[in-house]
Amino acid sequence: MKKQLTVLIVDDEEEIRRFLEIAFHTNGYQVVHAASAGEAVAQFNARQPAAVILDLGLPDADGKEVLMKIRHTSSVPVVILSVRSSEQDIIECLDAGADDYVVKPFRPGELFARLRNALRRYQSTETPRTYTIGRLSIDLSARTVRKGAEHVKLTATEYELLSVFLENLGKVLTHKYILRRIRGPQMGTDVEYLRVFIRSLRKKLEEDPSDPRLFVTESGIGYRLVLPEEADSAGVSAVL
Amino acid sequence: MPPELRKPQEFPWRLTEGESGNRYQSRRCTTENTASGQSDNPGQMKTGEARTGGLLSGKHGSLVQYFIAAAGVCLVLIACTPLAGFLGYHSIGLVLLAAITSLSLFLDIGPVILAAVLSALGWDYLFIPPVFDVTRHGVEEIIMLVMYFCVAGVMGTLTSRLRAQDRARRKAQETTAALFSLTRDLSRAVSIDDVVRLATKNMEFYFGAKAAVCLLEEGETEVLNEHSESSFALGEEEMASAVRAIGMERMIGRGAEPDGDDTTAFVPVLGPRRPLGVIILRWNSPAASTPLDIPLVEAFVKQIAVAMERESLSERQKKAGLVEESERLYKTLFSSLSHEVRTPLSTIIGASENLKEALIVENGSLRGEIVREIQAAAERLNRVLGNLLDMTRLEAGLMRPNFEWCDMSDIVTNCVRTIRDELGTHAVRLDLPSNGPLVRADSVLMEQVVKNLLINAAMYTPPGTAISVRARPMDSRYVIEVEDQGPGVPENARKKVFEKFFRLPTSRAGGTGLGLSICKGVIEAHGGIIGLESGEGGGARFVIAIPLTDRKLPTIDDET
Repeated sequence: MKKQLTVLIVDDEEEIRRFLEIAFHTNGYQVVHAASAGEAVAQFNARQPAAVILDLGLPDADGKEVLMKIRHTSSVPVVILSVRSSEQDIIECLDAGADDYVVKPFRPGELFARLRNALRRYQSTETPRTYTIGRLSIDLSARTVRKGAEHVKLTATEYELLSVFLENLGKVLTHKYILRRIRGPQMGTDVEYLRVFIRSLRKKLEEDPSDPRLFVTESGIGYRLVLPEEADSAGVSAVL
Repeated sequence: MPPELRKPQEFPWRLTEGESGNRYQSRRCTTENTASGQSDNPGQMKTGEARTGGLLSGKHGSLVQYFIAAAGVCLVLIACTPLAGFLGYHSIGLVLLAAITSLSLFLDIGPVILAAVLSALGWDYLFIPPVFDVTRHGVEEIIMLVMYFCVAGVMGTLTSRLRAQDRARRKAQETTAALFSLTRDLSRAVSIDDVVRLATKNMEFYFGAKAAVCLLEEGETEVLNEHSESSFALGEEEMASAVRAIGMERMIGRGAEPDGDDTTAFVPVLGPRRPLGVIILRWNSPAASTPLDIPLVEAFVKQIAVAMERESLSERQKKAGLVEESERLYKTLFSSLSHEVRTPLSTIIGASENLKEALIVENGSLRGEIVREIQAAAERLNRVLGNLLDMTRLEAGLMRPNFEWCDMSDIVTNCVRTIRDELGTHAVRLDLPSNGPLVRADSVLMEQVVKNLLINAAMYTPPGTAISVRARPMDSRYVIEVEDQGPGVPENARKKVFEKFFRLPTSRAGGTGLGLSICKGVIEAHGGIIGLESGEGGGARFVIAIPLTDRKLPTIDDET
């Protein structure tokens, strides 16, 4: 069996910490707790956890400050777990470097799926150049995409968009982030362009473009490329 | 932009007639201004009321008038002397008559009579032969002198009386215009603050003073609060005078008390039910020559009192209405909350209690069933709370749409995907355009609306029936229809379903009565409409229409 990963859980509610600890233990993780922002930073520096589950409403400071302090020194996965459900909060955290955002009340299954995704991205030392997603096979080096046996032609921007998604497999990407990546740093606000690109990308790559399963919309926030095997657990993001 | 008010200026060298000419001209401007809608200005008319008279009125004024009369007569007599050689003394008499008449145009009766006497004597002494002699005359000359005196006196008196009448009429007109302008302003006021602001502006304009307004606290007789629209802050002494004016229920200060303070006036605002406050006028200089037109001040304040009373009543009514509405809301909220929250809570408490039973611990399938029950109850509780939070945000005006370009088909599809579990055995049929126009909307709120409609449809229709969602652009709107195959909603209840906490008497437990009113709030915040009609199979069909901003899909120049 491989070495158990340590996860730092930052939440001021004891019930939540206890319940998460049980859930994380059952899923094979070791757990470190922190009930405040100060404690969280101290524990992070002392224990060097492999991932952080971070609440925003902490008694001594906002969780965003903890996130920024962690990001100064480290890029370990940080998943925000908060009752704050406004898109603004979510976007701010994602833009500040959070790997994912889960709104309370939540399903543990979903939290673990997001965490596993983040860990996988963090642990993979080099970005793979070829991908197989369902019937799609993509070769970034050769710039070819095939759906089954059929060759799919992508425009330059669609190709760029697809590589941004593959680079962040399973991660929510904000509108601003995607637009900056595909259209340059000053083009963060033209959401309508993004809508059109997503439409055409879905038309070319989804099995059923009217019921997209790969390029999933995160309402008011952005998009996420979901792997088919995880679609079931990750596809419920907006319910809770 | 606050209108620029011209302060009344004094032109001591100018006669009142000259001023009044200007006044008429500017009043025409006022009428035009009003017609063109610039009615926030209490008229460009130059104030006159407070300053009527000027040089030629008052105690000193009449002495000056007598002096002018004497000097004028002397001048004319001197001017006529060289003419005596070739004009007859009859003609000189006519010239003098003309001079008297002219003088009467701007002098009062006394000075005119003086001028008549002086000119008669002068005429007799200087021109009627034998000159330089007033005693020896024939009958003809005496009759002529008497006649001259009569004609001069009568003409002078008549002209001066006409002028006085004209002045009174003009003053009445100005008073009417000032009051009209005030009433017009006040009639537009929609709050006490408005009334105070407009009252202050009008008072300052027409009386040439700075104005402050103090409002009497309701139920009190001596507690005055200075209003923020006041032009100056009141000192302690002035506050005391203001309280005194209310106690006496009459104006005190300038014009009302001969020995009192000459630069400030305190006018109580007396409403029909109770005193409302005090208006304090403060002038820069104690100008004794410009007496205050007290009846006009009182007429002003009476109008202001009526307007204030009106607004205070309507504000009180509004408050009462709000209290009533929120009481009703709270009542429904509490009864709804106690039911909607306690039901799932009892399930959770009861079911988790059951889990401890030895029998159930051993029975795997029974345990699974209980866990599912707890989950369902928790989710229902979460939904109730979510709806309540949304409703509160909507009520508090915190739910402002965050407009962006949205793909409605994507919103509907995503919504169906996220709530598939909650829809149970209901199949959802989608009819969405694959290349429809982008819509200016808040995608999260729109998803919430579609979600509420779908859950609503699933909750009130028999299991297994299909729900269809159809979206399409229609003219200048984007229309989304959610239709179920349930029993439908009776026509008389179709409007009511969008009201808060309204639930059909026949509907089963589980809803909050909030979902549809949230939909309505969100759609209205988007400038759209939501309605309920009867579907083709007799089910309920909810129709949403939101405005479609005319914007084509962005064309993208993209190379393969």
